[in-house]
Amino acid sequence: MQAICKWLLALSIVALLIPLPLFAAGDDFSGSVELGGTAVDFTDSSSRVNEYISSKNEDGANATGKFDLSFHPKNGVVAEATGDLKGARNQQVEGLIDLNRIFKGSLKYNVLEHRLDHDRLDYMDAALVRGGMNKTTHEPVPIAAVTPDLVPAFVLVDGATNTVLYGSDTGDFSTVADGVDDYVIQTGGASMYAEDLVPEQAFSITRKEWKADAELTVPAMPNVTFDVGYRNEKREGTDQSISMSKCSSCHVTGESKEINETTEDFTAGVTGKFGLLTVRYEFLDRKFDTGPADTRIYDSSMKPGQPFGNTIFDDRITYDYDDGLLPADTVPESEKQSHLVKARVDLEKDTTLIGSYVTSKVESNKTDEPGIFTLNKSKITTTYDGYGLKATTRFGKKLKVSARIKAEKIDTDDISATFQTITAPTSPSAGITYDATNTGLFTSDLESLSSRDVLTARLNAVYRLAAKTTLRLKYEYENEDRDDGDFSETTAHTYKASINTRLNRKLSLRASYTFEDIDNPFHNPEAALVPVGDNILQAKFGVPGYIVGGNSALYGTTFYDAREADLTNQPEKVHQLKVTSTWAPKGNFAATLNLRYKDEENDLNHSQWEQQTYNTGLTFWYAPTADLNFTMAYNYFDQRAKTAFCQGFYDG
Amino acid sequence: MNSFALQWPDGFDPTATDPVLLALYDVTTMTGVETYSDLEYQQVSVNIGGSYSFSPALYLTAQAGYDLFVDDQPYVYGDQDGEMYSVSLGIGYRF
Repeated sequence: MQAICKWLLALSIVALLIPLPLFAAGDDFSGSVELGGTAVDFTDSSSRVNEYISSKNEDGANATGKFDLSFHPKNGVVAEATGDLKGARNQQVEGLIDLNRIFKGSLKYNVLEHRLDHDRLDYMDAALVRGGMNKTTHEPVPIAAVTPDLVPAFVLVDGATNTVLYGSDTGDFSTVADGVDDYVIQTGGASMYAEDLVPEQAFSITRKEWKADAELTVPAMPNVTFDVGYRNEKREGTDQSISMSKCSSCHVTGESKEINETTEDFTAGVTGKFGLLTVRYEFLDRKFDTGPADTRIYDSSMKPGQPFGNTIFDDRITYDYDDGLLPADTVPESEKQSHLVKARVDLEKDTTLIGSYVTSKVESNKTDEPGIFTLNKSKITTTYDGYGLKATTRFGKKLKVSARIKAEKIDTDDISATFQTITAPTSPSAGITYDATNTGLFTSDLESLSSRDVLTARLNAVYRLAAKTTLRLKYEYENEDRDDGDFSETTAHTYKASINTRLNRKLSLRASYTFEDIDNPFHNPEAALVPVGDNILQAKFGVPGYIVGGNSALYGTTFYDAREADLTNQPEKVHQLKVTSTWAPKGNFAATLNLRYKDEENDLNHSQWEQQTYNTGLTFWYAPTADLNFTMAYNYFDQRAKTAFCQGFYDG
Repeated sequence: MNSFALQWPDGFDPTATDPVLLALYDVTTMTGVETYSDLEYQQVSVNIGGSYSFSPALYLTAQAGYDLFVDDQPYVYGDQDGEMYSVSLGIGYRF
């Protein structure tokens, strides 16, 4: 089968590459060819004004070209070719051929370079100086003497007046505490340092796609059409790659990463029309390849406040500088096969029934790093099964109704990862930051979040209120039942009403209102907010305090387990209003106004998130003559989001 | 830089038993947080183009464009202010 398909594709490509004039006979050949050039000049940054490269990504000029060729002889052969070449980074070429409707072939090629964002990493530096205060005597210092750049690791608070009295690098306030109501608070010793190691680098990805399709309808079986397709997509360029070293400090570094990804699709299908019934089968084979993995050297892990080169934290870190170059920011290669069966029955009164079934399988390669982490399988398989049914019919002349139901099941292998610390803990609690055993091994069973059952049902009704006025009503129900119980089930109801009317010959109006009610949107459960109260006071040097250290309520595994607040960026309620009106007083003038307002909110167990979006657009079109027209557009976009959360500081 | 713990927020309740940690974890008492992620930019794009036919077959096309991006609140990606001027000229033949 594949051999036949490849021949068909090769035939279509060869046919399209034949110079069109060879087909020419008299006036059957028409079209246009345009040659020229484009010059661009930039001031300051070109990253946003030229995000999608129009012709060049730097000052200068380049040649451009356009062609639109058409060959329509009377013998049933049709050949067309179009192209828009704006430079090496922006090209579109397309050709198609039709031989008496027996064979159709098309070939498309396009190139587009996209400038990517460059995170400057200059907004997250923070350091809480640990020590540095009376390093010789380690005596507490009155808080008035503390300078902004010399923050103590611990402070002593007078419980009677709620004022900070002393700072210290050790937390030992036994010489100054009153022993009654003073308590100690650890302000931390953590630091975060971020560096952009390639500040001058411009990141961009050039996407190149070849696409060839061929259809064959054998005259002996005119109701059956065979088709094959091939698509090759390449993404090449550089992107920013961000990684982080720990534990001496959180050292975030941004570097450059080569992107070299290839996606190859091969499709084959057959469509048969048998009276009222149309049946289609389609097969897809996809292969996704990436280039060599990017590598990184990480900092040495050291405990802050200790001599340089100490290895105290090696019992809680899985890799550091001594491991040398390690793969980073990797993208797994994968393969996919899918089968689609679709049937359609056309009945009287615009009644149609469509049923479909899709099954696919994706295998994704996973690579571990023995000595750092190992996986119990090197390939993860995801299977998908989707069943769809759609019915459309008309009641009288004014009402058209369609209903659709879709059931999907996604099942992904669970995987087990075992992490290994650089050195084994010397005791069950030594340096513990997760539930490692004395062997330094910790195994985590990871249940795939993609495994789920999805049920979608939709009901649409279109009613003609008047000759030029149409009312549309829509209801959609969606239920996502995830296998992972922590994320559980999301149910969404969507209601939409829209009206499309022509008020008079010059003025038309479209308006719609949508309301979404989402129960339990996708979120990260118990992701933040450890309650802090007096019940977790613990003594240090004889003075009660909130001590961030050891395996205490403010540190270690206990800290993470105590989190209460759910977090999400998904709304529970969405209101959206859209209005579009066009005023065309003359045949050569039109003005269009667009308005959109969207209000989103959620109310989680400890926070509320809100987002309002306003979008207004005004477009004028004027054509004083048949060969001259002007377009002017103005767009205003305003989005405001509010979330009552920020990153708390934390020692470690 | 200052420790978060030593920046007493406006509206802080001095009678609270834990002046530091309560302030750290109660973000509603913090001031200025809502401005941290302010983003504002203006974008202008103007294009004008046309064509002139010397004959039914031979024609000339010309196009000029101006794009402006003003980043009023540079943040994660730095200052992305920029302008682009473009000019295109082409000669075409219809057949």
